[in-house]
Amino acid sequence: MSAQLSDALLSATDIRRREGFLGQVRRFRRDPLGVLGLALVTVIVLAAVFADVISPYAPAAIDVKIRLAAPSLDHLLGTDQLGRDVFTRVLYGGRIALEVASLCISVSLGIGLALGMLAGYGPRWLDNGVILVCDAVRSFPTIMFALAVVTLVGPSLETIELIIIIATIPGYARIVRTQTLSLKTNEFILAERARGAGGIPVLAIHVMPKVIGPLLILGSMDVPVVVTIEAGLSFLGLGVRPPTPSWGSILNDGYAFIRNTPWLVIAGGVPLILTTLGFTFLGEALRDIIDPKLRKV
Amino acid sequence: MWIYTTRRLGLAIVIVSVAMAMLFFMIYLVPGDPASIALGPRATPEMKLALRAKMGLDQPVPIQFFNFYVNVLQGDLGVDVWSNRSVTVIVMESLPYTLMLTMVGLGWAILLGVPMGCYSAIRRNTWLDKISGVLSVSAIAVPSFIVALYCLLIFAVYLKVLPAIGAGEQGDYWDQFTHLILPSFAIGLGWVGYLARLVRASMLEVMGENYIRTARAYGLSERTIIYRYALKLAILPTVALLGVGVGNLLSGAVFAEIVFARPGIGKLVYDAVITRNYPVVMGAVLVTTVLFVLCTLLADILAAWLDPRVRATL
Amino acid sequence: MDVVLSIRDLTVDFATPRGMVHALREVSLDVPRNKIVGIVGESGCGKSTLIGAAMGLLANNAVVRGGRALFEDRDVLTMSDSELRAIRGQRISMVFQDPMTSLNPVLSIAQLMTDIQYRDRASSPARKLARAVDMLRQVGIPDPEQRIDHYPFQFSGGMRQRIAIAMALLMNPSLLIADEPTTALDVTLEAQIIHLLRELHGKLQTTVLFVSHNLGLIAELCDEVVVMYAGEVVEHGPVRALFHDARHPYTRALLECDPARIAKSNRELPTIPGEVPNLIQLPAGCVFHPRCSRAFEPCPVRPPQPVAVGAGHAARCYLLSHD
Repeated sequence: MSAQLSDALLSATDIRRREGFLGQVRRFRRDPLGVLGLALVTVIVLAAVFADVISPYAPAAIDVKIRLAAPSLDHLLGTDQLGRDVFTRVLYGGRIALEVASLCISVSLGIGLALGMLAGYGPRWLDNGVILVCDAVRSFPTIMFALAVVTLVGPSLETIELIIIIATIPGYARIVRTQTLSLKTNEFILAERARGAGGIPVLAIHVMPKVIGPLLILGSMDVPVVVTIEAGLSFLGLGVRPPTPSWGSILNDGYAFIRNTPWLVIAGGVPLILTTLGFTFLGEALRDIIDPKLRKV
Repeated sequence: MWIYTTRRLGLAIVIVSVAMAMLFFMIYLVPGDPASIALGPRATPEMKLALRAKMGLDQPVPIQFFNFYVNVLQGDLGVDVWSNRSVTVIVMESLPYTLMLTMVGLGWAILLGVPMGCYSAIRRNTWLDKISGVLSVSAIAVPSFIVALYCLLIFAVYLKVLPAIGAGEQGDYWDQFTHLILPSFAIGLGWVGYLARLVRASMLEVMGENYIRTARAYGLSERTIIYRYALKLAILPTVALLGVGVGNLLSGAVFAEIVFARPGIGKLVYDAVITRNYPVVMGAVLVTTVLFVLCTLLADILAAWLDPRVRATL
Repeated sequence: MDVVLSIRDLTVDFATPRGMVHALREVSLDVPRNKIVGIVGESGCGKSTLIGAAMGLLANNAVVRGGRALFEDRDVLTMSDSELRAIRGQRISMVFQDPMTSLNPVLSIAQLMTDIQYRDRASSPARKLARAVDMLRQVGIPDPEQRIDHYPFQFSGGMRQRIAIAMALLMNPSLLIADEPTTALDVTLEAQIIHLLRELHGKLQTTVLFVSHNLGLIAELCDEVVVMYAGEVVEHGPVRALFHDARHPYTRALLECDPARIAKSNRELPTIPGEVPNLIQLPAGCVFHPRCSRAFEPCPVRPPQPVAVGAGHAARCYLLSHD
């Protein structure tokens, strides 16, 4: 049919190849959700970075006289059960969330990269072993796994970070492994090795450029997941230790006092929602522009 | 068909065994031993010794693991250090509540998500499609415990239309049903979004295929084409993913049970974590993991069986 | 003359982001009852659009600028969806090009063939199945009672195309449109399918509209031929007249390029120089003139009108009005 012919003429790959970076920026600007996501992420990151400058009070400053107050000009989001300013705590909570996310994802990416290359390049038994362990880790519902570790080690922010890292490594390792495997038998690599070039460095040079893009996109799409896990576990009281503020712990307080005031729950929940939405919208827009093949759905 | 099933089953067993080993050996990565941990910092050496003997910790590690493995295969998940009751019994008491919650959550996801995805695909690029697209992404992004908290806040605390706490009176089905609505919605919402997107993408792909054009050329009604020809095929990838969905929903169920103070595995584990009661935690984690692996396996097999092309090659 | 399908001055555009694609321009053709009419032309000449229009199956971005497509004296282009559904598969049916993807993979042949009989509420399911089995036997599927429960992937390409033909003829339509039914098959299968079509045409008295880019097939099977180029009918007429005495330069060039007709063996295969025109920006005048070795003054000015050269034989070329 002629319509299909004209569709074929306009195939997406053609357009993208002619585009270049500026073209991609232009396309990004036309995606309203992506722009919204970028705006949200910018606001959240700036708020977290400048938390100490913006916040009117110290996050742990207690003033029991004004506990559970509703929002006012003095306290933009009200106060919690110890009279602490919730707005301040929300800002500092953002710091915690983003710190955990950036730390965990970078470490996880690094280890996943190394593990994936090892599994792909190394002998069969190593590959099988790594895959088996990865699949076993992925077979745990994440929260359950976290709870098991916390039982043994005790609750703390570091424990949470460790759990998140362990739980997210398999995902990255898989991608790197697949790419490494396909490159292992690539003729170019074989030629290089015949010349006597060492295995791993050669592989690293060729594998890295191919996987960096997808890995970064997946990493950025994992930010909401990591933030959620940290907030969830802090909500259960198993994450940050008081008085450190985390959005999850604010929600915990809010839950305990839900019949007294809704503001704690709102204050803890809204930033979480905005963060997860913002990073998700941004991540999806970026993925659609850079490599739609990553779309699992 | 049977070879495929057996192979997958075998693989699943291996993975679960590795997972079990990880759970078991995690204890030894931690300073101290389970007895000390369970008893806390105020334990006397005699108490510790007694508990260690009771937990079988005085035997060499490989023997302990072997005993553990054999016990698990026989359905014995150990003993709760405090109440002395069998962990298996404790876990099985709570499991039905969680399963019920998870299944209803999945029900929400299917009942809302599939039609939404289907309709979006048919009315592609209209406002309806775009709005439902944004809603789907949002539903996936927002954490389920937030949804649970806000549902609690809005519907139970403020509007007071639905109950806030517990699972309802035993034997009173309507009461139990109303108690299920909010928590199951909270955990199912994420998958509503996910299924909606998946079904939409699947349907769009299928609707562009030649056999749909053939069906149209034969004058079949749009209804027949959508349901019998398109949806039947588009559903296949969805079925395989439902197994993963169960695992996902189980995690969400933990939070929902705590937020709504419902009985279930979630609450059980939470209480056990607080008291450092590792046998119970380990037992519950093991059961949920096995459930997850089993559901994924069943979903894969079902998906393979439903597609006659795959069915024939197996 | 009883005409089953009559297309009159049909002009169809497609709206695309790159501009309006002028897919068909004032196309006219007649398909007389009980004849086999062939449409021949290269890819992109508009034959698929034409038969799509005949069934009312144009894509969403199609714009019908003018003309009519009369099937049994009713204009298909103005029919409602339900009216169209009433005739598709029943009065007018189609066999598609690619047998591998034309049949729904998750339904058995029995289900497919009983589905299309849904309008027949009087017959029982058993009766519908029996009809289907009988049709399968007529197209040469061995052991049809057993095999009707199989799925499409269990049949070879040639078998599937036979099944497609069986499905198309099941309701005994007035018109069967075959859109390059043998292009995806190898030569031996091709011959079998052509033979089958001719046999069924004789037995069931079905009118056939046969689309192809293969001149040899057209010559073998058809009674009349329509030659299309870049969205226009450049020549049409009875098969013998056209093949022996082609009048349009394009038709002649096609015939010369057909490897089967080359008299003197040569190292090079003849081709038509130049390229198919861009359907968004068409050349002025005769659509073929940029590639025509005999183009002269009137050609680039205005498109020529059809000129009769014999009984039922006409071509659009200024050369004809000159002789």
